[in-house]
Amino acid sequence: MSNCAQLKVGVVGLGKMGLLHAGIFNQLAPRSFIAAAEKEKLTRNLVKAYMPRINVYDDYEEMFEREELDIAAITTPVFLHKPVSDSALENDCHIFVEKPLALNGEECRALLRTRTNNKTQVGYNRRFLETFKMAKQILDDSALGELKHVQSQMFETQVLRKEEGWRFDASKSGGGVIVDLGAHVIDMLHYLVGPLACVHGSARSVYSDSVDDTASIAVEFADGLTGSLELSWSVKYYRLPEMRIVMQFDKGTIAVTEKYIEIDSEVDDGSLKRGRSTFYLQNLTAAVPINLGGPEYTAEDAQLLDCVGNGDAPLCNFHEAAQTNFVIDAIYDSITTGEPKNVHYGV
Amino acid sequence: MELILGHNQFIGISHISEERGREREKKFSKVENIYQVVEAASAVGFKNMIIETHPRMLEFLQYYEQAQTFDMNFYLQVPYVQAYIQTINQRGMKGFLSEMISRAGWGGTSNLALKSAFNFLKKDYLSIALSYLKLEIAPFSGFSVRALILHNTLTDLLMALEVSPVFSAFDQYVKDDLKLDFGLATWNFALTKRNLEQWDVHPAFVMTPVNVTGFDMNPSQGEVETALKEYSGDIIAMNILGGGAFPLAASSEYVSSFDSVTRCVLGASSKEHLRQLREAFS
Repeated sequence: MSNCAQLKVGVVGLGKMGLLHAGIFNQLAPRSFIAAAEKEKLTRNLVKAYMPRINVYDDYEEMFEREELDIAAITTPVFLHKPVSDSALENDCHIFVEKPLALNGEECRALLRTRTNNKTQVGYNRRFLETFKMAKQILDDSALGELKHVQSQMFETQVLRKEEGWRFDASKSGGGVIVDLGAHVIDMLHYLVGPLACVHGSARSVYSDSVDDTASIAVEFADGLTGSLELSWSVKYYRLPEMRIVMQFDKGTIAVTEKYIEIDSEVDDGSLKRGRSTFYLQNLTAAVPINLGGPEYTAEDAQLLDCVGNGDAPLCNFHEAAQTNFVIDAIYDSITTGEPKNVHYGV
Repeated sequence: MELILGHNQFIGISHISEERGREREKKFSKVENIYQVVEAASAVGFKNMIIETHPRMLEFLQYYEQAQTFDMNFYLQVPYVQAYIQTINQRGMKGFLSEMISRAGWGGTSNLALKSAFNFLKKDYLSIALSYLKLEIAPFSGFSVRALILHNTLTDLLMALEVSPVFSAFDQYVKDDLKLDFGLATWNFALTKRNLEQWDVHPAFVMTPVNVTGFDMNPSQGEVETALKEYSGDIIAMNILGGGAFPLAASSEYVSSFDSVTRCVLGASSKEHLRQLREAFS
């Protein structure tokens, strides 16, 4: 990575994810975290008191105008992703934005129509986990033959009563569990399998007033392959969010989660051994320059910095990430009408 | 090598898989089952155990006090990050900070309340955070707690953001007010060592992953090995066996190769496993 030491990073939204990415960028490119924009006065006061070298603003536009930043890390509630991204691009910043890219497909299309040469990365961090990367490699190699069926799920113990905050207001979050957890799975299905043609979903608000807490979605991919997606943030005994994708092939099966990949192979071709093999994350993962909450967060930020230096496109840029919003739109459309809906990817 | 019993298995954490974590969560939802494992650990030579301010750990300590058939010292890891993250997820950073201030200010003892109100006016948020911490650890103070460990999530974030005042304040508070050893957990030992030296902070120990594959030995296994060899303080090795993914004999040999590693944290759920660990790490 070249010229990292000179990079200037500003963070918009100093919540949990904002602090995490600020810390990662600050170590990947030494002392690159120089400015932050945050609406809450208490948080601004904390930054002023304990990080005095950081210039802190209550208005992100003022920060962009005054700081001449190279990178904007946008970790605000979802409804601000588009306006802050617009402003960052106007001020010639490369962008990291937490997932999902925007509230809906329409906002994503507007962002994609903005002409820019700047690099963008959206926080679909599971693409950077070694277990999912290994699954992707097996799929790319077609080592187990034709893919026959895909079963996917993501669960977390998060909402077991009526909760408050922007996540539970669809006008600010874009939706409930389908956006919060589902976006990760949909992105992974795109990454591993490919575009979806059609979705047919149902959802239920178990504890929340205006957003979905559980969802069950039948999916059909562009090549006719079918599968399922189960989501809930209201189940017990899921201490951490856990994604699990089971793919059945002609000559074997793969089950992959954040922590392990289990392969049941009927072939023995050097890279794959016949029978069942399980590979754990800790055996697959190399050390990272800084680990705050998981190597995948570091990897996505590091790749953005690399791409700023070498001109390559980040793995999950705006174009890649927008696809997930297009699918989410189709899912909500299907839930509203009770009918299967085609996914419209066009910009 | 001093052996410290880890506690992850008792609160449903597994590095291998969430399924295994859930199985353990179910098994150890009965504190008698935790007690039996800790008692077995004591019998094979474990004299120390790590705990968090998790409600189940408090329940276990109360059971331990009633039943007490053995003696154990405790390293208390703070804060209980999972609960903090849940509050932040549900109520945002503002909601979390407001709760911290109101609990430390108005929910504590009257003396603490006055102090916290004064600190808030002075914008002395660090003192408020320490007051909040005091409330969090208060239920555990009657037990034989030997040291307080700052959780790696907080240590590493503050190290990465270079928030140095927290470490000297925490150090001073734990040593002078609580009369306990002050320790740090970190997944980024090379950075932590560099900052501690630069900031002239001297914890009683640093707890960090030391394992054959270099998992979470960041920024690289080689750099952490060099830092471990150069470090003048005590190291407690953690993540030694990768939740069972790394071989026992090679892991034991590896941690023993560093003079600074004087203690190691090992997790176990059965008597047989405890015996194997004792043999391998004796």
